[in-house]
Amino acid sequence: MGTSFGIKFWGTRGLISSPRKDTAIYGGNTTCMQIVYKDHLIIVDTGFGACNLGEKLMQQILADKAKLQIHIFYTHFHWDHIQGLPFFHPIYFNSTTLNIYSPLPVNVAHQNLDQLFDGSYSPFSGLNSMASTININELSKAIMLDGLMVSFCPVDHSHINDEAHCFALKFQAPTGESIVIATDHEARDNSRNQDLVNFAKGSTILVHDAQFTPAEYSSRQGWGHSTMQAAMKNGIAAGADRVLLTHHHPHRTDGEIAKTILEFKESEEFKSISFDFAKELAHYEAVRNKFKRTA
Amino acid sequence: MTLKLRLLGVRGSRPTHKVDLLGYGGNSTSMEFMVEGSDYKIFLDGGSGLAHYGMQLGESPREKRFHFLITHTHWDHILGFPFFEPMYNPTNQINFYSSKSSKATFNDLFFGLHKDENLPVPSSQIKAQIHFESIQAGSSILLENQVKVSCYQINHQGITLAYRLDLGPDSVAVVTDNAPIESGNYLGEGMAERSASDPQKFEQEFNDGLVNFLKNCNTVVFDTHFNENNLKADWGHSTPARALDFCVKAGVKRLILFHHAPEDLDHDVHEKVESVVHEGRAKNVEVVAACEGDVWALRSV
Repeated sequence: MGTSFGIKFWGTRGLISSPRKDTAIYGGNTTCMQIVYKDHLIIVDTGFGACNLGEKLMQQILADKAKLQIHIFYTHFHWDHIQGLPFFHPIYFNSTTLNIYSPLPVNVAHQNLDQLFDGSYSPFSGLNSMASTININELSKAIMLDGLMVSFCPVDHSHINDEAHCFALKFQAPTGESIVIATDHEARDNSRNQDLVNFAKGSTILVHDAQFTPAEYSSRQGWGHSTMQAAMKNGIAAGADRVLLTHHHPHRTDGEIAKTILEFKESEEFKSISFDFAKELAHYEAVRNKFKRTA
Repeated sequence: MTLKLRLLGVRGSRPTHKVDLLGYGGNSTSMEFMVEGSDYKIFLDGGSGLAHYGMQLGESPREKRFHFLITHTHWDHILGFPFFEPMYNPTNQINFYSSKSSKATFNDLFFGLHKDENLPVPSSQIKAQIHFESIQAGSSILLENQVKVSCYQINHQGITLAYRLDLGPDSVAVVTDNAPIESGNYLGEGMAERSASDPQKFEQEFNDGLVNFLKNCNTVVFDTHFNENNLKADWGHSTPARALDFCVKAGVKRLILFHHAPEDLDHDVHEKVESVVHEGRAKNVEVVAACEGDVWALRSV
């Protein structure tokens, strides 16, 4: 892995994996991202995309006998963001240490992950039966990982008894570049959205939920997901250098995405913004202003 | 009246997406049994293959009655249920048939998919009339007074059922997850106890019982997650050679290799077929690989 700070997508799909020929380019696995920073292994969410990353890491475990230190940050615990963990191969090796972080209490995080390994849904006997060392940490405030600052902000998705259960995460390098990830967030005119825009202010990359088209959204308000247009507007409001749209709807085809990209590039509103629809296996470097076009 | 099989998801363990495995398909286990001219639908398991089909069907398909045969409750077989849209329409009736394991009931696990922390759709949104029926290994039922459904406990964790459907001259059996039962590799609930007094006799009875269950079946869909070189018997899965052996003994016409490992690319699946297709031909068993979207007629002529 290179040393430049950036993000790689292992899973870009929302709700459920959608392996099809017409999703081959933008991806069919559920959410998983890797923050590329020095030589660290930093993962955000473990949807089924994490399994392909795990397969790749097996080379290091088996051939190089590497002892892997892996950091996993969870935005929230919906199935499409956690379901790959029992099939993330490094978890079966005692040479692996998994440091897990979420803004929710340790027992809540543990319970949500443990059920994936219970003997009914899977042939395992609990998270603790895995050979790797697993440490679960509550993020109560921003933390530093070898100079990388990780902070969080509640977003508008999945509130239980009015308490936030879903979070945006910010990774800020010592040189100032930052990647903000808001995979699941309903951008609408309210204070929660304003909080996210403030949190993402000046980010180098803003990864944003763009599950719906405006037509789809019109009958799905309150479902906790944004339109592609609302995501772009949040990127503009936050002054992000680049917006990466993700959490693609299971129905969304590569062709529809390609068409939307053309529309956005030709629209007055979005033509001066650097953006992409997140592609599975693509690596995006966080370099300030590199992508900014002049209007 | 005919019975046909439609494969909705052919992958085992988990759905998977890589460009070079989309030929056979990346969705996890689900299939439909189609009875010509019927006003009901029959499915087996609800992996991600069912999710995509269920979203296409929408909340109000022509059929109002849906029967689900559940082999077992591992993720790859149930994770698609919340996306089966007919569940959200009060005029639909959905029946689930599953084994009763000692650990948790299927209906607890089914509703467990809708926990607030894990899914933004609470189970209170499920408006269809849902019935859970437990089915005993070795028993049979008659669905809609037309389709005979029999089941057999296979060698996999918990109580995992193989199903066989018979409708007139059409027949199909599905053995989704089944490890070789040998050298004390007894994975199913109750098997260790039943084998205690005479393991050899137990193994013989299990294997004979499965051959008998598949006897003269037109088409058998069989777990071939592994091959002979990478078989991990205690993981609960089988190989093409073992699947073919059962089919030859049972006089099966067609073997569909199924439950492809998520790591297997199209050429790996192709090699699985190649590894047994010639022996199958010599012994009158047609061998093919399960491919997402394929529809098979099930009539022996």
